[in-house]
Amino acid sequence: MRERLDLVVIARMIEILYVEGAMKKTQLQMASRLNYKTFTRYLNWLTERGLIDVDSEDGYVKLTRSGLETYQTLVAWTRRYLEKI
Amino acid sequence: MRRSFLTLARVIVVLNILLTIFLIIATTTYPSITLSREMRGSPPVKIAASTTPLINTTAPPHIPATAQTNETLDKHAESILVGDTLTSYYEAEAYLLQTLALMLGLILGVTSIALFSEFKASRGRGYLEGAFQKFKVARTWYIVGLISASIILMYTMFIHVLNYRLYGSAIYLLLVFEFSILIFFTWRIMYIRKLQNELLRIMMFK
Repeated sequence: MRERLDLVVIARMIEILYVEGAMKKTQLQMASRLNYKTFTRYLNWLTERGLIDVDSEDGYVKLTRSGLETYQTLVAWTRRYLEKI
Repeated sequence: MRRSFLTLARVIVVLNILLTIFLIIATTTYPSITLSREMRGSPPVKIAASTTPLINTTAPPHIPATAQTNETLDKHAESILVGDTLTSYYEAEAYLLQTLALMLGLILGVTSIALFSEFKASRGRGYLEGAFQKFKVARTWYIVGLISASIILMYTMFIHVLNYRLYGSAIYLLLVFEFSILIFFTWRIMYIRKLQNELLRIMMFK
């Protein structure tokens, strides 16, 4: 069955990583306002798509190049369309 | 000054609520005696299933048909002279009030959902999150507008069928107005749907 994910939560997580930079998983979870189970689900989804990278040594989460590009594309897209919605 | 379609949608929904309240007041207080006799349909005549009892020794005395007709006409004339409303004339008051209450309840209910989503969106932080919340709020308002317009359109048609002289040409204006609102919201929802698909493509959902 296809996973149902909230676009707002994904946008929130990407935006936090873009603004704050690399951070620990726990910090990201707190900033995302999600419980652990849901947070893991979103984190796995973002990792699978190659938007974020989780460092296996220190556990830091950061945006990949693809994630950075996606964020910039989304901001440009929202400026273009969502202003006149 | 540029105004967004979202603001227009909010205004239309509020207008629809006011229109519903007006329709409720108008329908429940509209006097049937002001309607022209020609435009009235004949009221439903109740016919008894069987007038001859099978075995009944204490049957009521037989009343001639002409007397019965006169009695019915008297009752009918009396009800008009009393000045009852259109609803009671058509013997519709039994379910009409419930229908009106349900209609208003539905419109207010869906509007409260939109207001709640608006409140939730106001808590969003950051540019991108705020923009996505606005996207969701817009979708909710358009759906709410579509529902309220459909409800009023259905009710307007109901009144139209009941008696097409009611409110004169206002009923036609209302029909055209609500139908155009329906088209507007359908167009906006289709646009939102298109944007959503594009967004999902950017976010690699598809």
